[in-house]
Formats: sequence, C-alpha cells, structure tokens
Amino acid sequence: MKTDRDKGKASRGVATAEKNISLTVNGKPYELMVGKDVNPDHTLAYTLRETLGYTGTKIACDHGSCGACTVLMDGEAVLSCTMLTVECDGKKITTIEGLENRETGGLHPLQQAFIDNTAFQCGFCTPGIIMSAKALLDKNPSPTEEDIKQELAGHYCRCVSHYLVVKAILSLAEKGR
Amino acid sequence: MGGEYRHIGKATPRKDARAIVTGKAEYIDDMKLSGMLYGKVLRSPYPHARIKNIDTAKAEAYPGVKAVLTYKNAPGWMAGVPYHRPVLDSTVRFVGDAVALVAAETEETADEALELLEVEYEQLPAVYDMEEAARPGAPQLHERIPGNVFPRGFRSIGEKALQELVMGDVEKGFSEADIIEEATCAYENIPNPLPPEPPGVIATWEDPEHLTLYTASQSAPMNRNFAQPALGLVDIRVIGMQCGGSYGTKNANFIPMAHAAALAKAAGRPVKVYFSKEEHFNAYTLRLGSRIHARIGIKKDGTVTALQGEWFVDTGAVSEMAQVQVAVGLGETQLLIRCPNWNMQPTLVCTNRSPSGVVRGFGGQELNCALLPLITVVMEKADLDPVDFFKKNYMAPGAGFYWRDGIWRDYRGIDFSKAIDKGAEVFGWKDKWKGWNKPTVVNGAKRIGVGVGLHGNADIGEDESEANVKLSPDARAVVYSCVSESGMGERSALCKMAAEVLNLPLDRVNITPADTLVNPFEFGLVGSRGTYAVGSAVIEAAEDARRQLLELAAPVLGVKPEELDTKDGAIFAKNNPQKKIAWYKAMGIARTITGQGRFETDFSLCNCMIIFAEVEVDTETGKAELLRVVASTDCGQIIDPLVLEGQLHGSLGSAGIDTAIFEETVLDKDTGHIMNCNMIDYKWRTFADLPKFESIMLETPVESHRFKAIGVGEIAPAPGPGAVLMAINNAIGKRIMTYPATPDKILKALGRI
Amino acid sequence: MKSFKHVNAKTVNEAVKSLKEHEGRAKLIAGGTDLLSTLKDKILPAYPETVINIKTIPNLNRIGEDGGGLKIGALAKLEEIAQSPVVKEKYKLLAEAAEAVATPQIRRMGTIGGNLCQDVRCWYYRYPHSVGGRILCYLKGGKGCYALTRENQYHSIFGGLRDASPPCSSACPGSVDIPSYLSQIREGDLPEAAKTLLNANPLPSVTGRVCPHFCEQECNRGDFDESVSIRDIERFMGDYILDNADEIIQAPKADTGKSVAIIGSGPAGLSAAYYLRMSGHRVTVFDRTEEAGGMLAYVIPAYRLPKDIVRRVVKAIENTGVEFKLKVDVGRDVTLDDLKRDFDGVFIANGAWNPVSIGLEGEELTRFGMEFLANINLGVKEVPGKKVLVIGGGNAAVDVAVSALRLGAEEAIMACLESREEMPALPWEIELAVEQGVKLMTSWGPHRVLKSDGKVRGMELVRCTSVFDGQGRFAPTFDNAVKETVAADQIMMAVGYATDFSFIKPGSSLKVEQGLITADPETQATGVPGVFAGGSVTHGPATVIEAIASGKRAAAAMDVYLKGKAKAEDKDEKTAEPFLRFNSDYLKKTSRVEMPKLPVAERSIDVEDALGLGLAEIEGESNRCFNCGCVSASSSDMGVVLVALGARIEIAGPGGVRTVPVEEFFSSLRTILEADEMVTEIQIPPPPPGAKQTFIKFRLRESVDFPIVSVASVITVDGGICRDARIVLGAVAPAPVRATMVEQAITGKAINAKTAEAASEAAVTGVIPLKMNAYKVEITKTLVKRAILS
Repeated sequence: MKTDRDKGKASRGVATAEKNISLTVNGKPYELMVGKDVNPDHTLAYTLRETLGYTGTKIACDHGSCGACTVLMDGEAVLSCTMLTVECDGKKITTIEGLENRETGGLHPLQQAFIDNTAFQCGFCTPGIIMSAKALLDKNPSPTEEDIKQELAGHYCRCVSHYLVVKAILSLAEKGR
Repeated sequence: MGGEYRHIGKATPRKDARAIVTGKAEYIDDMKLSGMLYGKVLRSPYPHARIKNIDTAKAEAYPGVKAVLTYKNAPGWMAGVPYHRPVLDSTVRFVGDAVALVAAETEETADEALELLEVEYEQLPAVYDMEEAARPGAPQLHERIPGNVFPRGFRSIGEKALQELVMGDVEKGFSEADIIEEATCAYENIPNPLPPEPPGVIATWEDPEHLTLYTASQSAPMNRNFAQPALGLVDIRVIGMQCGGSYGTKNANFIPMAHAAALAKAAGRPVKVYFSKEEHFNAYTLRLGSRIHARIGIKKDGTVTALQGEWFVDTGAVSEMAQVQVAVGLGETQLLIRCPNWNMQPTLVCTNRSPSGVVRGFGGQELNCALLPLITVVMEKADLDPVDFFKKNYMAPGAGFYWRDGIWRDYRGIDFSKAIDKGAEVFGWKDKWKGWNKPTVVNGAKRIGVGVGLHGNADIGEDESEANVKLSPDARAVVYSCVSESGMGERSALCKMAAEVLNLPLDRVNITPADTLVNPFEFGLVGSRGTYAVGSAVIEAAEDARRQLLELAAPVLGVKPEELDTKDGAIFAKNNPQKKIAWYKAMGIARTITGQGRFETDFSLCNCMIIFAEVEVDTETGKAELLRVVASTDCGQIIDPLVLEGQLHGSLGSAGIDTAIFEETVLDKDTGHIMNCNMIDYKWRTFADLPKFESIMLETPVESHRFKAIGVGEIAPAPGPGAVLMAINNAIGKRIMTYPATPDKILKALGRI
Repeated sequence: MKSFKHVNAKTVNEAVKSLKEHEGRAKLIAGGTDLLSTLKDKILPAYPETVINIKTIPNLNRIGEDGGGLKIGALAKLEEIAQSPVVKEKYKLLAEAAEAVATPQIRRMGTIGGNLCQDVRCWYYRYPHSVGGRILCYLKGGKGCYALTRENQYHSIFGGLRDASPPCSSACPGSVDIPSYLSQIREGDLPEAAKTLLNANPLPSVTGRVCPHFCEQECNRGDFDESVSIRDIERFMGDYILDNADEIIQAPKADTGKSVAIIGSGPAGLSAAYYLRMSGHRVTVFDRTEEAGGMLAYVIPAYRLPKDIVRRVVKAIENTGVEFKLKVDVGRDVTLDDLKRDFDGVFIANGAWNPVSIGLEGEELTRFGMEFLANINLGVKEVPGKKVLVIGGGNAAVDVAVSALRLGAEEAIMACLESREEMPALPWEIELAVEQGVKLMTSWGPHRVLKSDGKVRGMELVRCTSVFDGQGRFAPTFDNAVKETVAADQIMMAVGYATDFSFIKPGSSLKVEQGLITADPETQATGVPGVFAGGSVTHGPATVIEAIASGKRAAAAMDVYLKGKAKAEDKDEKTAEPFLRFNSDYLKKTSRVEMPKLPVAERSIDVEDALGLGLAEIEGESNRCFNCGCVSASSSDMGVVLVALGARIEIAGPGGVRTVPVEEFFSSLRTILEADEMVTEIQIPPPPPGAKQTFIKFRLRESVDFPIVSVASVITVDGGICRDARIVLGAVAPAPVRATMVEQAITGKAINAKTAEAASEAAVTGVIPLKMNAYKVEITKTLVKRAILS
C-alpha cells in the first residue's frame, strides 16, 4: 500500500533522505532500508518491537504520556513511541534487553535492585522505569529521593510500585555516595 | 514476620522477577503466532443507534483483509446475566460499542479497512443517568432487560443469592435511634482502573471444536469457565500470558476473546485483538456507578439501630456480573456496620455509557464509598470519633452476616480492633483528630484535615480451587495450579507454600503455566482468595504429595511414615536425622508423585483494611493534596512482606483512593462521549505526587489456614476514598458528598464560587 | 499511524519552500511530542501528505545572549532551556516554565518552538478518531464549539477566539458576520453594528424582511433551545440604518476616476453599485423600469416588503453618488457595446423576468404570475378571478396565491409537483398562505387546461409520484391513471422565470448557456474583459441574499480590475476586544422572540404584515447569541512567560523573515503562523535589572498536567514600591492574556496584601466563565495575588 502511494510523486522541494537508517541497538548495528524495513510512519518503539524483536520495550498509551516505551538514545531517556525511526539515523539505542552484562549474563545492578526490592507488581511499566533510572544514575550516581521522583514523573505505574521503585533506586544511589 | 518458617513471611525474589527486569516476561502483545492476523474493531460514534445497514464490500475487497464481521454474520455467542451482550449487534449502546470487526495481515491494513466500512445508523435517544433510565418512558437499551432494570440474583452463586438486604425491623430500629439522618450520596465518577497494558487476546481454532486462547488475564481459567457455555461448550484451552495489570478488569475478557475467536473462526487463522489505549479508555470496563438514597439511625454511643435505603447501581450499557457485585457489596456492608435492622434495596440499571465490569472493590467499594458520607453525617451529629465508631461496628467474633449466597455466617476470624488501634497510633490519630469539621492545622490559606475509612470482605475463602503438586526424584516439585500473574506475586506465593510444606529450597519448586489443558480446576485469582483459597489447595496437594513420598520412603528406611520428615530432598527419621535417604532412593528414578488438593468455599472469615488519610487543602485554589496515608491490616501471617506492601500501596491506584481527589471519567452528557480519554486528562498519581505512605501489617494467626494467613489485596483501595473525603471535609469545615473533591467542588463548598 | 512521506530539511529555506509547495498538506516535525499524537489519533479531517523534519537544520537550537538580549533557536529543547546557566540566572521565569512542562522525557524531546506552536488542547478537538469518530468542532470545519455549552471545566474564562467562520455566517450566502454585529448591539454600539452589517450586505432592511435566513437554521443555539431571531434583528438594524442613512451611508472620500455601468437595479445591481461606489468608482445604474429595485420593487408583495423601504434604500445609495438611469432599456435605448465603450466596466444584473413555458395544453390561456405581482406593485388592484389556481410550489406561487385572495378572489389553490415537505417555498411562507386560506394541492402535476368558449374553466392534474431522481435532480414522474380536475377561472403560472438575452447581439463573445450567462463563481467575471455578470442572469432565480452576494463579489473583482490591484484587500479591522464575548447568562434556556404580526383578518395587499421589534427586544435577542468561537484555553507554558518577558518571535516564510511580538503571535487560534511559515527564533530582551520573576502553574498534579491557570510576572520593586510590572495569565483564554489591569493596579503602589488583593480583583475584570469553570476565576485571583506577594 505504501509503495502505491509513494510511487510517482517525487518529494517536493527538499531532497529526500531516503536511504538506509543505521541504528545501534544494545551494541548491535542495524542497517534498515527505508521503504522496506522501515516506513516513515514507524515509531522507534514499533521498529524495536516489531521489526527488530526487542519486545522488552513496552507500548502502553502510544502517545508519550505513560513512559512505558522509554529507551536510552545516546544515553538519554526518551519516549520511543513518540519518535520516528527515520529520524534516528546514527543513534545508539539501549533497551531493557541491553542491560545485562553481555559476557557474564549477569544482571545490571539496577535490575538486581529491582528484584531485591520487588519493585514491580505486574511488571509492564518496569522496563521503561528501569531505563529512566539508568539514565538518571549514569548522569548522577547519587540522586536524592526527590531527584528520583522527579525523573520518574512521566512513568505510569497503576499497581503503585512507586515506593519500592524509589527504594530500589535509592539503594544504588546510596552506594554511589 | 516469618520467624517460624523457612520461606513464608520472608521477602523472596518473585519467580518471574528476572524475566520482568530483563524484558523477557512475555505479555500478550509480545506474542506472535505463525500466520497470525490482526483484528480491529469499528466503533460506534453514537451512544445509542440502530444499524440500518453496513456495506462491507470495499473493506472485504481490500488487499490483506481476511475477514469482516458484522451483526449479520457474527457468531451468536452471548454473555451477561441475563444474556444481553452479543459479539456484535444491530444496536449499538454506547459511544465506542463494536459495530464491525476486521481481521487483516497487518494492523495498518485492518485500520484502513475499517475506514472503508460504510454504516448507516438510525440514532436512538440515549440515557446516562441511572435513575432516569429506570423511569417509565426512558429509552430502552436491551430487549432482555425490560425497563433497563436488571433482574436480581445470579444463579451461579446460589438460588438464594443476596438480592436485597432485609433483616430485623427497620421501623423499630429507627424508633430506638437517638439520631436519624437521611441523604443521597453517590460514588458515580465511574473511574477507569486502567491497567497499563491494554486488554488483548489471541485466538486460534485447532478445529471447529477446539479453540485455544492466549490471554492477558488476571484469571486465565475464567476465560474458559465463562466462555465455554457462551460458545456452545466447544473445548477451550486457555493459556494465560504475563498480564500487565488487571485490578479485576481482565478476568473473563469476554469481549476481546469473543472478537478474536469470531474473527479467527471466520478467517481460519489465528487472530490477535489488542485494544489501543483509546479503546481501553472508551470501550472496556469502568467501575459501577453507585448512588444511595438512605436513612440511618444510631444511638449516641455509636450503635447503629437501622439502615434503610435504595441503592442504584449504574452498569453502563452492559454488565459482566453486576448482580454478584451487588450481592457481595451488600455482604460487605454488614461487615462495615453491625446493625440488626436493615432494608437496603438495590436496583441495577443499564445506561448508554461504557460498560461496567469487575473492578477491584467489586461492589463493596462502590457501596462503601456511597454510604460513608452519610455515616459521616450521623457520626458528626453524635460527635463520635470515627475510629471508635468503626471499631465498635466492624465485624468481630460473635457476630455474623448474610453473605452473597443469602446464607447467614457466624464470623470466626480475627478481631481487627488491634489493627485499627495500631493504625490510629502510627498515624497519630488522637493528636490530629480535632473533632468534626475541624482542621488539624491551619497555615494561612492552607488547612490540613484527617479522615479514616475502613473496609472488609468475606471473599478470602470464596469459590473453589484445585491444585496438584508433582514431586520428581531429583527433589524438585511442580505446583499445578491454573493461576496467572497480573502483579500479585501469587504464583511465587504458591511456590513458597509448597516449598514450605516440602521443606525445599524455593528454587526447587516451580509452577506450571496458567494453562487449562494442564492444570486442574481453578476459579481464578479474584477477590482476596489467592492466599487462603488457592493457597489451601496447593498446601493440601503438597501435603498429599509429601505423605505419598514418606509412605514410599518408609519401607526403605524401615520407619513408619509419620515418623519421617523431609528437607532439601532428603527423607529422614525425625528422631534420628542421620538415618536419611534422597528422594530418588525412595521413589526410584522412573516415578513422580502427584499430590492433590482441593479447596471448598468458606465464607466464615473476612479481612479488613483501615486507611487513615491526611490531606492539605488550599482554600484559595481548592486544591486538595494527599500528604500521608497509613494503611493498616491484619493478615494472619505475611507470605511476602514486599508483595503485601505493594498491594497496600496499590490502594492509591486502580481507581482507588484517588477517586476522591482527581480520578474520574468525564462523560459529555449530551453525546455520551468520554472526554478525558487520554493519559494526560485522565488523572493518575505520578511519582512527583507521592504522599508519605506507611503500611501496618499485623499477624494475628488465622487457624483455618496452615500458615495462618488470609489475603487482603483486593480491599486495599476501598476504604481510601471515604477517608480522603472525610479529611477534606474536616480540613475545610464544609461537607462535600460526591467524589472526587476537585477544586471546583471545594471552592463551591467554601462559598467562594 | 497512517502513512506519510518524510523529508529532512537541511535549511530553514528548504523547510519553508517545502511547506509552501505542499500548500497546507505538510507538517513540520521537531520534537514530535505533539504532532505524532495528533496524527495517531487522526483528530484532523485532513492528514498530512508529508512530514518535514526540521531537526536536521543545523544551529537552530542555540541558546545565547546577543546584543543584550537572549536568543533561543526554535529547536532548543525545553530541558536545555531549563538547564541553561544564562537562562537560569537572568531569565529565571523561562527556566521555571520549561521545567514545568509535562514530564522529563517530553522536556528532553520537545522544543520551545513546538511548545509555542502546539495544537489546540480541548477535549472535543482532541477526541480520538478510532473511538466514536473525530468530533468535528467548528475549528475543524464542523458546526459548533461543543465546549461552549458542554464539558468546559478546563476552558477559557475570557471568551472565545474565532478561527473560521461561525455556522450562521457560513450558512449565509452573503457571509454576514452575524455574531460580530450582534456583539456590537449587545455592547450598545448600534453604529458599529450597522457598519459590520453593511460590510457584507447593503440591503439589511430588505433581507431583514424577505431573506430565508439560512443562518437561523444553522444557529448553534437551535440545538440548545431555539435559534436566535437573526432575521428580526437584521430588520431592526436595516431600518435603523435607513433612519440614520445620512450618517451611516456616506459618499466615498475620494474618487478613483473609473466608471462602471450596471444593468439592472435589483438586489445584485444595487449591491454591486453600493460596494463599487464605496471603493470610489463612479457608478451608473440602468434599468428599463420606472423605479429602481427590480424584483424588490415590482415582484415581492408590499405586505412583505413595503415599497417605501425599497425607495429609501435606493435613495440612500443614490445619495452616495450612484446615478440611476431609469426607463432606459439596454439593448434598445443603448447597446451593451455603447456601455462597454463609455464605461471602464460593466456589470450585467438585469434579472429574470420572462415567463417559462412548460408546454402545457392550453398554456396560452394561463397568466404569468410574476406579471400579476408586478401589476399589483404598479397599482393595478383588480380581482384576478373568483377561483384562482396557482401552479407552482415556490415563494412566488405563495405570493401569487396570497395576493389573489387579498385582492378579493374567493378561492386560491396552489398545485405543485412536490409533497408538502419538498415544496421549495419556505415553511413559514407556506404557513402564511395556509393562514390566509390558500388551499394546497401537493404532488399534483398540471396536465391540461380545461377551457370552453376560449375561457379557462379549470385544470386537469395528474398524480406526481416523484419529483427528483436518485441524484436529486429535477426529473418528475407521473401516474397518469390518477387524475383530478380543479375548477378555476384563472390559472397563474409560477413555475420559473427566464432572462431576456435579446440585448446580447448574436456573435457576442459573452457566453450564454442554458439560459444563463457563464461567469466565474468567485469573481463573476464573464470572460469578456471588464464585463461581469451576477444575480439571476448567472445563477438563475434565487434568494435576494444570493443576488446581493454575487453583486458584492463582482464589485470586489471589478475593483481589482479597475484599480489593477493584485488582490482585493479584505482586511477585517481588528476589534479592540481580544476575545469573543457573550452574555454571561447565555446558558439560560430561553425562547426566541417572536415578531408580532397583524391579525389575519386585518392583513391587506399593501400594508406590511409583520410589525417589527423594538430596541429592547433586539438587545435581549442579541444576548442569546453564543458568539460561537473556540473557547479552548491556551496551554503553552512558554507562551505565557514569553509574553511576560516581552519577547519577539522570528518567523521565516517564503517571503523572508519577520519578527512579531509574542502577543501578536498568539492573536489568532493556533497562532498567526501561515501554513508555509515556521518559527525560527525567540528573542527576549533582558528583563529589568533586579526585577522579580515569578511563574506559578496551577494544576492537579506536579507532573504531566497542562496548567489549569498559570501566572507569569516580571515585577520591579524599588523601596517597596512597584515601579514596573508585566503580568500574564495562562490557560484562561485561547491565548495568553496580558493582565494590564493588574499591572495598572500595582504600578506605583506599595507591594502589600491590600495592593495584591485589589490587583487580584482587577485580574478577573470582565471574565465570562463558562458553565463549569467559574472555579478558574478564583484560582486566577489567588495566583495573581501570590505572584505579586511572592
């Protein structure tokens, strides 16, 4: 369908950027061909989940209002449902699947902290929360409780695991001090 | 906590913890079956309309479309009591009701095909208010529900199911009262429990008699139990996926299931129906609306002498099982208020708003929250401390109640006064409580007030469960229990109970997937029944397995079975631990042992949750801010402190406490559209707005359970809204009787607007 | 999401060029946090063909001081602004507001430009298409602003803003700005109301009597209780204008020296004459009749439109310098070519006066209804017959039948093809006829005239089974087996009229097709240079307002033609009031005022039936107008603080770059940006040294939420006295509101609780809260007070 629509009309005015999109996901490089692997309307969340199989990243509201789709892009926590894949050329993405130590298979300390504190209930929002927490700790290894709450303010958790999440992250922040 | 036990009472990592934190836990949207199609729903723009015609030709001809269903060709499966909810109908009854279904190779194709359907509607008058809907001449929704009023009762919970609450003599009761108050109070802000994961089901037919469902359900077996009669008793296998939150809403999943199954049947391929968040907001499940016109009489000492009233329950366009919710709600009210004279008459009404369904609180929260403002008025008139009032009136040994099946039960559980007292003490109630309509602190325009609410449920032992526990010679155990995971950690709790019985390390005990093909009967993880009902079945199965194991070991060791014990895969004589063998020595390597357990309904126990709330109100802006919550309960024995604490924290979410502050569904009463159907305008509590939260979890042993435990998860939110409303009223010295107390209502109460 | 094309712009010029080439079918994407949601929800009826990525434009995200002020590139992220040391130090307000937007992730993705340009936030506007279908509020081309009367807890408390024409104006062929002149009446400014009305319609005293008022059918109030009686208000205003014509309708200040000939003095001709004259041209109107006014003078019965009114209208137009040459028959006394030669432009609007033959057996014995009506207006008041049968179902047939009775006919019967519901006559005209005693015979077609002795005896009618075909075209079908005979001694035909084109010489380059002159529907140009045509000659017989509208269109196009301008200037003057105001009691259910009429027994052929309304009734009725506009509340946190900081917005378009004050940027719904423009930079002058900057955002939650009310203030206090203040309110109106009353209330005063209290009252002067948002007024007061005292 999309090819039908794209056919014929050359794009107006501006040189088209139709080419391959290079993405590095969890250290692994991908070349995605626009029009084949990626359509202009694909969000990064869609590409990660449906095209590349990183289903650890969740889509809940799909409107950037719940944080479930949070991934790291060049180290920053961003909403992958609210970002077009064609605009992510050359970016380094880290998803929840990229946190374990690739050599040892060991968990990231954050993951362990979440387990130790049972910092989740249904777990659907957990990958997104962990990614935000990771970005926060990478920038600020010893955030205060208030820092953590502010950073996670865009994450929807309906089971209300908030308190145990904050506790889990604080347990690492204290180590950072 | 857990002093005498190896696992019970200790914080242990959840069985699925690693999967969750690594993103490997598989939710329904992560699953793809080979050849799977995507099902999408065309939804009604009108609150009430007859479909005069649907032209499906263009959609059917669209490349990639594999099935199009309308009321003309959809299967005639029905749900609801009485049957009133078809797969598709020629009448649509709320904005967002299903008009047609499309299955296609991709989601985009299905979406595009929906736009090609041409529908001609004849608009019908709509009604959104439950009392208006129940009046003669109101627009009629369902042929099978004349007058829009549901018939009372629900056969499956018993012939005498509680249809009304009538006992004693209310007139006599009122004549004995010192204070009588009457009011209309409502809890009808119909909030959305809104689990993060939208509802979804994948359906695939092996053959016309065998349907397999992959479901995001809180109670996977319920998908089978409910759907099988509706689908003409075809064999349904249900496999429960990791469920991304439910709060009651994702139990039977009838609508996504029926849509997926119908499309899969028509297309001859697996079909996934997964709601978008917009659909989740508009076309899934809201809380029941609840409104009472009631009268209460009390004595000066807080003894309640009579309670009489009408209870209107708004089910929305369709109801899953409102009759059961009403029965349980009437039961729970008797736990809250011990009173010899009752006449509470429920009326269940359907209206042209989104469907209601099972939601955490299950009728009890709805009735409690509507009653509490009225009770507040009499407590105030009698100048009673609400903590004392609740303590005096809550269910206690020696008293009893009619439960949902209409049968009287003598209560034989815990005396919860200790939990009430402990909660009050930690909260500092005595210092903070300054009397009715009196703020605790005044700081310029800001005033702090306190409130308390209480709730309980006798559902902890409801319905039946079966479990098997299989022991293998390598000293491992598998729990066969059809329990899916939607956040309560129940699968891990069951493993802990089995591990405790078998005295195995926790990692030696596993649990089967929630697959109805594999597991024995399970009702589902509803109410607070996981710990006591499901747990007891598992415990019994583990004990049975252990008994068989010891019986096998006895001849080998030459000791009577009852003189043997087992630990960590070894069997030994209790009086001579050196005399021991490994399991495989007793069993041989070509054998497993399966123990069986079954739990029969027991309604003689209840749980209890007390919530104390401290709220600061800005009297110039009308904003109420929740500062502190103390939740107190007594659960007999904690199974896992962190899991339990999480459940108590959950009182803020799932359409709970915050329905008193900002959570509500805003309905445009001219058109029936839900206006705040997005995650910005539907208010939920963020990390930046967390009140201080303290949990008190007492452990007064409950003898009925091997580990003395009862569940409390389901009731955590129920006492919250009433407590917060009371706190707001005390802060501002004015009375607000409806939820939520948003700035407009507070400013109005203060006479500022 | 539905698919779209995606391009990366490397420069601002590329982006703007692409926007222009897409003619509104492209959208810019920067942060994407707003755009992608609107695309996913398909909230707008038009989906963009292309999305132009501007993140690829280098250097558009700079933040830095330059020449004493701060310059921020449109692509600067909100988080970068919140964290910028220079912003935090000197432009604290900006940092605080940036920090208050949405959530951390959104702040890292969203840009300041995007925040300023975010689409309207309103529940109705944003309703998702996937459930229940998008809600077509009038901002999206639909009828009403639903928030005005429904769920409006988060909406404006200062009135609305219009972006598109309201439904009444849209329905009006003359596009009269009805809500504006009703507002002016409400505010007691009748001269201004008259001006507004005359801008679109020079003959309100006529249309106030005879126009079908499509506007009332579309009036949103009609869905609420009853539509506003626009017609009666218009009649009052029309008469007011005539009474004060000397002041209101004045000759133009300067002549252009160009001349125009107008053929026909009917509504199209008068309308063109008026507007051309107002543009300074010399205008001469030719008509073969004795009196000017065309159909208004000769056909419409005096009991509906008194002839005195027509004469006064003509006189008022004449007084502006328009010359009327009457009793001049173009084609006979003077040729079209003469006019083309002697004048710089010609407008043909000679109407349709000729009978149409329907090929009926005995038709020659019937009488042409229009001729009958014209005769009455010429003073011939004879009894037309004892039993009069009128053929036709339109307004003219009604006029003929009613006039016949009023002249003394014993019986008048209207026979028409259409059913009662299908009849083209307006419902109230039919009512009037029935009141008068006219008998209706619907769904009957004339078959043959019955005659004897060369005299009419009656007519045979056959059953008409349907009038229109499946496509809605006129294609009557009959059942000849069902017949009816009606006795009559007079048969009047009122089934249509045609134009006499004899003045057009054979071989003329003027194109006439199917009895109509071909003219451009936008300009009324005929294709012959300088010659325009309008009214019935181009679109067939229609309503007076349609004729007026075509005359106005022609005048505008002729003005362009005569002055050699590129485009007609159609600039509406900005009213002083920034937001649309309505009566604060607008939501009380009220009935429309009904105009009193003469009792049926007293009605006559030449005295007006309807008696008109008085000023008090008109004012009451204009109070019922919703003044429909969008009542959304602007929610851009950056917008509010930028107004407070006195910033300017740099906008790039195909024609280059312009900068506008932020207040002007927000003076239109969805900002003043044209479809081919983009924001490139925000320029902020340094705040006064030592000024106290405060931003307070009131919302239910500390994150995620848009403001319910916000206040941004920059206050300079010296020795306890306020020397200077800029205070801006957010989320209380469709645009940020500069609270000048508050500024005045505190400037020069000591800052204390008393001043703050008085200022907070001033902040809400003139609020018009909606049904559910009065609480925002209180919050606004509180926030202003706190901002001053902070």
